Amino acid sequence: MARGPERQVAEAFIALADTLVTGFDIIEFMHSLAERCVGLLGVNAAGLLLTDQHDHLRLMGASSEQTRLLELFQLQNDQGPCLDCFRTGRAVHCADLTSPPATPWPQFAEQADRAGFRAVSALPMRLRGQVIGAMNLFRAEPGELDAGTAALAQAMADIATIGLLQERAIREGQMLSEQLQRALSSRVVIEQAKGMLGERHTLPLEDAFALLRRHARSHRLNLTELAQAVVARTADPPPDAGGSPAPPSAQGP
Amino acid sequence: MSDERALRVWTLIGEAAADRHGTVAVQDACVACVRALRVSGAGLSAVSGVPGLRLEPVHVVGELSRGLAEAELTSGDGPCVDAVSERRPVLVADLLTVEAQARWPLFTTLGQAARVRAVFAFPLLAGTVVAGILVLCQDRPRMLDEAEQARAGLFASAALALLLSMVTMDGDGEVLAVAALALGPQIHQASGIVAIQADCTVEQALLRLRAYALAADEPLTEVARRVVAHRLRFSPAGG
Repeated sequence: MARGPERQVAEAFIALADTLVTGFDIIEFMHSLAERCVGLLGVNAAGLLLTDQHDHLRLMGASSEQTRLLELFQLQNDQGPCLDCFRTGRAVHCADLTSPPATPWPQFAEQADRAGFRAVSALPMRLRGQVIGAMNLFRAEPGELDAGTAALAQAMADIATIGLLQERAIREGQMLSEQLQRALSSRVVIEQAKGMLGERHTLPLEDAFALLRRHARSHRLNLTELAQAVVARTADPPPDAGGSPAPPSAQGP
Repeated sequence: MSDERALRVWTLIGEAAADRHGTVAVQDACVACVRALRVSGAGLSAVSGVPGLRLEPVHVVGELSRGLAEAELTSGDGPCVDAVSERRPVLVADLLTVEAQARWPLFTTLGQAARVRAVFAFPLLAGTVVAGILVLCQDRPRMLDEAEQARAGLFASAALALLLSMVTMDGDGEVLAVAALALGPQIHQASGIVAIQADCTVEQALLRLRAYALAADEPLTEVARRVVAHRLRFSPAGG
């Protein structure tokens, strides 16, 4: 990757770093990030949409009031490049909103045109496969976003993701940490229960897991709680619970 | 000034993610830390709550770091375990000193066999909870100077943010993915298997596995793999 854009991203980071460390305010962070994108990427406006705790997209930052309205318009009408980008997890570029073939978002294109924007790009904010938001870039002049700028824009979207992570770690650290401990303990006890059931009934481990899951489903039990009961020897799901024939007995243990 | 350092740390992490064409994750914090502090290896472990405190490696960079994780798991002690209970960094410039060997007799023996000489364990503190440990290691005696320690601390807070994101961003958030277990699921599976074979609890089974690994001078993961593959069996204790 070229050093140039990286240096610029680093500078953008420096400008944002004090917000990251002292009195972190995620709204303020996203807002300055959107403003920063305008200068750095040579676009006319930028906006950021993020998911909230209920997986609903919300407007988190915009470089101008016009952008704010356009983003809200997308949310309200459930159409627009940012929403497509969020749903597919892929960057969406539209070099000219007014030229045929018509865009998939006619209402949005009309609104954008009224606000003075002809081209738009939306970049996903990703975290290990999951899309947590999208960044919109608006341009007054039609045309493709060149590859270098697109890469830089994606780096800015990644910075937004990092800002979110840091903010959550500060705000919900203890709660998330307890959640992590539980998620890890669940994994451990499920693997232990697989081992126990597999050994007790001479089953391959994947069959032992299938047995565990089948029993949890048919008895409406939580998988982790059932695994805990198996490990504590207060539950012993029978191997033929699902009605499938018992596996041919393998050679003795 | 410290802002700029935090920024550099995150930039390095971002670069590590870009190198493997992925999005930022715990492994990038480990890789970036190895590069920035020029250590031989780095590892990240999450603390699991029940039963009792246990460290589960979620990522290791380098063979040395894997050996270190095995040594900690097999011995059940060492700088990482202490960093969790003491809630502060535990820095060991040389495992072969009398002090280190007196403090962790089992761990230093295993660590030495794995060619680990220096170990630096940094707790990842989330509120009052220790969520995990970032551990760096070196194949020769070495100390981290003050600036390096501060830098490692920044990597630790970055690693914390990434570690915590694993729960909310992966799967259903209720059960950690198998892929998150850096040493694989076999140790836990083997604990279940041995609990049946030896008619004991899974905790006692894990102790049996660790004792076997120690006595046979074999990595714990290898012992576990043999149990899972039915190439090694345990019988009831005392028999």
